[in-house]
Amino acid sequence: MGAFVRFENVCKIYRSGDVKVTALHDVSFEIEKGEICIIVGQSGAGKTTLLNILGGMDTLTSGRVFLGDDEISAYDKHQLTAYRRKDIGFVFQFYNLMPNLTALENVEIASQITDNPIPAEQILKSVGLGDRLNNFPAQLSGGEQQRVAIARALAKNPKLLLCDEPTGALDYQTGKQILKLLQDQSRKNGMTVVIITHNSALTAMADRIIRIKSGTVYSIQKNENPVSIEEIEW
Amino acid sequence: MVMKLNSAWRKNNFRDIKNSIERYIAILAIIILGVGFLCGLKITKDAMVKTLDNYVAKHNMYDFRLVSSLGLTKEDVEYFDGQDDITAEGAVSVDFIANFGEKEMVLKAHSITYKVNTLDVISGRLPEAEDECVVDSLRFSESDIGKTIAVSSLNDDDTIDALKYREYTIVGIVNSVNYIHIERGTTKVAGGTVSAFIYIPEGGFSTDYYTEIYVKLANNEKIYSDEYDALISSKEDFLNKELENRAGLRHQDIVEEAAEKVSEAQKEYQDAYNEYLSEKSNTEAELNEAWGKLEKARIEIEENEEKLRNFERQIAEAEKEYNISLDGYQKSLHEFETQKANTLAELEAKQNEIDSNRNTIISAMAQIEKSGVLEQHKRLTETIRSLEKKLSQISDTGSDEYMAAISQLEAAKSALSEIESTGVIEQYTKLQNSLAQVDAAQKELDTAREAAESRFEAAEAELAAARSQLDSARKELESKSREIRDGWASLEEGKDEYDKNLKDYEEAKKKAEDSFAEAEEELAEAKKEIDDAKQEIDNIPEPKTYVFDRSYNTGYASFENDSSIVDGIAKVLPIFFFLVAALVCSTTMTRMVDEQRTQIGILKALGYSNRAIIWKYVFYSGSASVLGCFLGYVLGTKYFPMAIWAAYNMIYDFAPIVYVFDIWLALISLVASLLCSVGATYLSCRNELTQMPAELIRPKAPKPGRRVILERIPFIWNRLSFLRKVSIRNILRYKKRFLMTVLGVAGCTSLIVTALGIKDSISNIVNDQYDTITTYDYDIYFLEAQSEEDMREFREIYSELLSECVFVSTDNVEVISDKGIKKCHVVATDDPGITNIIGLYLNGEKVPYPDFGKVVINKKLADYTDLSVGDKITVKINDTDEVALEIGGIFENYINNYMYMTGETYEAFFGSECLYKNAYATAGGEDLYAISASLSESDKVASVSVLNDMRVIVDNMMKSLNYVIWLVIACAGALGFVVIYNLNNINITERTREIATIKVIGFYSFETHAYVFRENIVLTAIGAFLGLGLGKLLHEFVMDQINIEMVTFKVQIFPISFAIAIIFTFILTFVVNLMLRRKIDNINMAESLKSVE
Repeated sequence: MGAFVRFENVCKIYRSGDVKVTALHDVSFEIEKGEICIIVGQSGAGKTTLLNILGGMDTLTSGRVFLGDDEISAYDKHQLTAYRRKDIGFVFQFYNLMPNLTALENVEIASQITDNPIPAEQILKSVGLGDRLNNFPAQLSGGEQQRVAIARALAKNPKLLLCDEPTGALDYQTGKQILKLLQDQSRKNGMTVVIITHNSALTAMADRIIRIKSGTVYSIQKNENPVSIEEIEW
Repeated sequence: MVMKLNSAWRKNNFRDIKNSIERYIAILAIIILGVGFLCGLKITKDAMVKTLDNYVAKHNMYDFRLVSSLGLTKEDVEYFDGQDDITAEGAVSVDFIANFGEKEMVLKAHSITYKVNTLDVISGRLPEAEDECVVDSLRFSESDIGKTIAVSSLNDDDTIDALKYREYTIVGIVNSVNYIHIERGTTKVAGGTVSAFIYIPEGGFSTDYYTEIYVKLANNEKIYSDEYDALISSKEDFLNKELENRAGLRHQDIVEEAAEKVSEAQKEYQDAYNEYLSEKSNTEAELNEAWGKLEKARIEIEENEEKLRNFERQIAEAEKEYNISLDGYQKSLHEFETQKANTLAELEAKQNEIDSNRNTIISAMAQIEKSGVLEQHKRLTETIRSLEKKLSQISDTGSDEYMAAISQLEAAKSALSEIESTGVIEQYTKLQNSLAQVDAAQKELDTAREAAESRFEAAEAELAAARSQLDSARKELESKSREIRDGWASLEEGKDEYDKNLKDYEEAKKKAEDSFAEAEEELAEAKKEIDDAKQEIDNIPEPKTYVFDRSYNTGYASFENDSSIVDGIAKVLPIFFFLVAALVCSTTMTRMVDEQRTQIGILKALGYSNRAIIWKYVFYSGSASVLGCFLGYVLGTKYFPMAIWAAYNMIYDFAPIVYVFDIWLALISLVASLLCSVGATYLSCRNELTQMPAELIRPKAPKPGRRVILERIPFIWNRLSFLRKVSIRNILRYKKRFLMTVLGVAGCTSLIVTALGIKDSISNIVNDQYDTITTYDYDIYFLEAQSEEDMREFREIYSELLSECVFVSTDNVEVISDKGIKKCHVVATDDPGITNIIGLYLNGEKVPYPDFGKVVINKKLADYTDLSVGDKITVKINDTDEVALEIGGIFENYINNYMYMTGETYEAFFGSECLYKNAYATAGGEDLYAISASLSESDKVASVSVLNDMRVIVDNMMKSLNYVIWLVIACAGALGFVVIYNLNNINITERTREIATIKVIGFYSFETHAYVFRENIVLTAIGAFLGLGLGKLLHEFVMDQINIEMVTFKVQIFPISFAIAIIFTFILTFVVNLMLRRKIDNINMAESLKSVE
């Protein structure tokens, strides 16, 4: 069946004392394998929450999430860890690199627990950081750091690549480079890539566009003609 | 999960450690301190005990010391030695005054034993000859080997006799297991304290019995252990009985020996008496003989005397006659002589007259002749004559011639008549006539003279004849007289001799009588003595035997006390110490995990399992913990015992400390430290890890700012500067941080307070006890109980040397209560002066001396038996009887348990007389020891103990303790430093971003410092003050644990100690702040603010 990722009536409610915040309400959608799916919405819409749930980083309050035939939402902690380890590559908005490790080591720390990793050096080279392997994050610029983060995610050879506003802190050119990288993963390597952004212009490159608004799915769009990122201007 | 050796994972872990090395080291240090302190202190007692145990085992210290008031013999030794499981060896000990070089000192000489109490030779060798010795290493050193110890002539005869030689050569320096304490004991010999011991081979003594037998049981029980005590008490009865038996035998022997001697003496006496009798009769016979002789002599003398007297009488008569004759002769002679003399005188006179006449005449004649008148006259006469003649011839009278002649004649005649008219011629004729007369007279005289002379001659002849008769009569008389004289003389001689002989006789008689009397006296005395001795034999006291176990050995017993003190301190204090360390450690780890929240999230997001992540942090704290535990254990168990031993070296100097390894202690401390460090880590990790990665990556929502209570007091609040407000808000906002810092600091301060408090409680008891409670200087022991008269006498004699002298009766009893038995000293006296020398106080109030029927007891005893004023306290007065006494008052006393009462009370309740064999006295002069020496000289006094000596001992014990306390303080200080540093460090690292922000805002360096440190200081202050209260509690708790039999501690903390603790804490804080300033300054604004969250 086509649906690789499936959300079914997912609700996420945060409780902090008496304060109840409904981050997601009755979210349902599907993503097919090898697609680039872009999730758009304004700040605070619930995009990150959605991605976190999908990436096994957070639990849902109700509903179900499937990756292929596996019900992610039914996983226990251990299974979730394994899920994160093997199947997911996560790229954070604020990179979240290990400050004490070099670029290379930052990638290795992820790849060394994977069964079938891509060699760290190789992947770093492929993101264009071949000559920055031994620099610490503090010695790298924002874009470089983000690329290391991506390399880290990619090195795991995951089934699903989840990116939370990967270009949020980057300039136009660098951002485009990153996005190209991601696009190539999907196009060339058939990886399912889910990208969160609040930049609507990027939706052109997606195969599927999910719009979130106030914690609910506003619309799900399938893009028959995804455009290459090089051609997108904003 | 495969971890490659140089995996990024590993690298990350190590780099995390490296980059937070301060924290790592802090944890390491805290654990080292905590474990070190705990193990070090706890093990010290074991180490001390083991050291002594080894020493005691190595030198076969005796288990029992058997003493009998009758002395012990070789047979006794053999008897005991032959028992199963027992090794026995006899020993002799003598106290004597010795001369060493120029010094005079009192030494205790022991005989060397080879099976029990073997000597620890430090240098030199053991004696081989009898006149060699080995000496105390306390007072002698290696350079003294070869010198001699001489037995002073000041010793009494018994002492000098007991030692075979007068000089002993030092051949070695030793330690003895009998003397592990530096105190060398007391003695009856001058001065009362022994300076040092010396060991001499048995042959160097010349006594034929042993003063003690040392018994060693075959056992390997550890000293002071329950097993040892059980072993000892199991054998004690046996030994007691056996010793009594042996003593009984000896007693019998002595009695028999004495009886033998008495009967021998009796026999001797008889012989002597008989001899006396025979001698007496001999002498008497001799005397009688002599007397007979004397009587004979006397009679002879008397007869002779009679004879002489008769003779004398005869002679006297003859003499009388003679005398009469002599008288007559004398008279005649005298008459004759007188006559003669008269006659002669007459004659002489006449002669003289004649002569003078003649002379006169002659002279006159001469004159006349000279004058020529005569001539003239003559001429004239002649002329006349011639003229006349002429005339005559002239017949013519008228011739011219005639007329011429007549004229001539007339002229001549006229001239003549002129001349004659002058009378000269007449004169001259007269003179011539006179002369003729004179001549005639002369003739007459001559005739008379002749006649007289012939008469004289005749008379003289007669007289001469008479004389010669008389002379011969005289001669006879004289010879007779001489005879008589001789007779008298010889009679005198005879008398003298007689007298002399009589005198000799009388002397001899007297002497004989005297010596008889003496002999009789002596014999009587001897008889009496023999009778007395006979009686005495009956009175020979049953022997007193004593079985002393090791607890009577000062060194052994006080070592137990001292090691117990250390143990007491080690019971509670290290645990508290450890708790503080643990608290800070776990706080640190918890906060670290908190800090690493994001990183944990990332790792989780990357797919690292919980286990792996937990392992990462567990490794961090675990490695610090294990390493710290290991180092702490090693350093602690080495240096604590070493330091404490060095402190105690002042009073125990027999061997270097033996280190003990206690596996349980090591394990427990390892487990404990792992629990607090790793445990805390684990728990907080797990806590974090329960959350989803998303949560973790998301920074923790900062706690909502809240209004502080102080804000409701605008009066104060509005006056505060902004920064102050911020500080106050910060402090109260982060409650956990607040609590942890305060507790950590409080913990450290309380440790210092406790340590200082222990010092205060312990250090002053010596002064308190000897300056306010037992204020007297001497405890005088009398040989016998003193009567009222004796007391008065004694006081008078020593009135100058002693300002107070109170006689007391002392006893040692056991106080029975539900909790158990306690030993107690009883002092009973009716002398009101007791209140001058014993100060009874409770909480500053004076406690009056009890009335009849009541007693006052010391507080420790009261607390132990749970009794108060008005209750009755039960006392065991002998094996069977108990008596209950009402408590009239309770007083503070620090050394031993005491019960005071009046003499009447004692007699009434204890059923026995008050024997005043002791006196407490205070010195009236400056020289404490000179006075005590004078007191010892009294023959009523058995010994004098100077309280100052005890004071010095306890003082020394306290001094050693002081060192231990300083060690504790040092450790508490170190811990305090590490804790404060760590907490402040964390407080900074946690707020790096905040600090960076204010730096960015533009705070100057000092303002930034103030911002951070203000809070730190406030927290520290609160912690410090809290620590004071906590410290007081802890102190009480610890003091409760330090329980020594002999000493009561006054649980007190001086205000100065509180002050010191606070000041110290603040000093530490300031130092730490100084050190952290750099850290603050080094906060890189850009990086800190840039750091990802």
